[in-house]
Amino acid sequence: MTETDQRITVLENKLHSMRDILSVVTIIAFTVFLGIPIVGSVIGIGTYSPFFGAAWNTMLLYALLVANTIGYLWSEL
Amino acid sequence: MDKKIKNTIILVLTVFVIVAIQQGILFTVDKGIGTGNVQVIAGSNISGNEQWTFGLVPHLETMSKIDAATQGFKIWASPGDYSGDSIMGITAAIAAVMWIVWMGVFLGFPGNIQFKKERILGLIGIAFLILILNLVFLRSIADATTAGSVVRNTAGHLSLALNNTGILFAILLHRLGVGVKDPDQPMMPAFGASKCDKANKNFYRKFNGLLTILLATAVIEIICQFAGLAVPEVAVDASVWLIWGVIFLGHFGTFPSDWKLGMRPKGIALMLILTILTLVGFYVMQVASGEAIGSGLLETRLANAGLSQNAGVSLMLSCWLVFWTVAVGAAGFCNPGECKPVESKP
Repeated sequence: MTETDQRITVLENKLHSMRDILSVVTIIAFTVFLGIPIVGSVIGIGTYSPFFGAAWNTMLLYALLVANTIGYLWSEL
Repeated sequence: MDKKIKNTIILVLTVFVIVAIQQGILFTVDKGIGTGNVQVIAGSNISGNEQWTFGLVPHLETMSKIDAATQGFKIWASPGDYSGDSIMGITAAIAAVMWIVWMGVFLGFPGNIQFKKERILGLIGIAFLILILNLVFLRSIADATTAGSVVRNTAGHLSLALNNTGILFAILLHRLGVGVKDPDQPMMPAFGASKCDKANKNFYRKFNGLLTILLATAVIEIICQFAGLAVPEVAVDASVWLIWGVIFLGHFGTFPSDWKLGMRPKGIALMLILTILTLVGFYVMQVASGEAIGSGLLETRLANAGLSQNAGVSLMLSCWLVFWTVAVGAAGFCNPGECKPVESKP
């Protein structure tokens, strides 16, 4: 293996680890991003807030989002 | 004409008739309360004296808003809380999605209709679950409500809660195997199913596409908010865009390269055209009915409520896009056509 090959291998490994980090960060970011309205609607039950709307309905809508997303990811389309 | 397209036209027209009947009944209930009146829970002005049958079904009385306030009654519903007449275009859209899922996807109406026992029982079960779950939530939220009407605090408009629960349970029960036609096909993103779609080769491809579309739809929502086209309930408004994004991917494929395959460009164009036509149709109905039915578009009632007069546009677009994506899918416009050999990495 030449020196260039070795360097490329090191670079590839670094790239992969960075990709992994990025994907974890993205997943956490999206969990927070989607978690805010869900937590908010649980807290907001019984009150009408301009940020969360009618609480039960908001939870239903996010449940629909989750059901559709899981259905899509799990399908053999 | 293609038999599938003909069947879909029949399906869509049937759905519209059912939606008109459903919303008409709720609208009549709304009008029955009368302007300036509210429905209150009987006995709720005295602590511990609220009257509920089985603890779930309230005894309702109609009285004027001023009487209700002075006597300290808990308000159950004001006019418009059932059908959402000021945003009828949006509540009708959600109802239309539910009925197309029930009729077209669950029952297979009209081309593939099979009155299998489990499908009928499934729908009865779903209807029962909708009723019980919403009553439980209405009851719990009635206990937590200190201001405003119970129905509005629970669901915004009752028809939204009923129809959203209907869609959700149809999808969930279908996933659990009730009335399944093909176990490999999920409920909502079903019509684009094709074994030769590139998307099936890589889970991460789907996952990345999903995150991308969620971001893209979130950006659409942000633009709508700043352009004054959305209701201030951000979470509600955004969620329908996010849902549409996922359903769009399920029908037309994960990335733009998939959207170009086969019948799909035609399908996407049809989806957009029909959505715009529906918006125009509802605007015409709004003008024709003197704003008795609201479309959320150039509506003085929304302006009077302190919102932008176009506050319903974002939800109108997203909700009807969901409906027309499902309808166009049912008509076979998501077919990617001939299988091409998938390139494999060396």
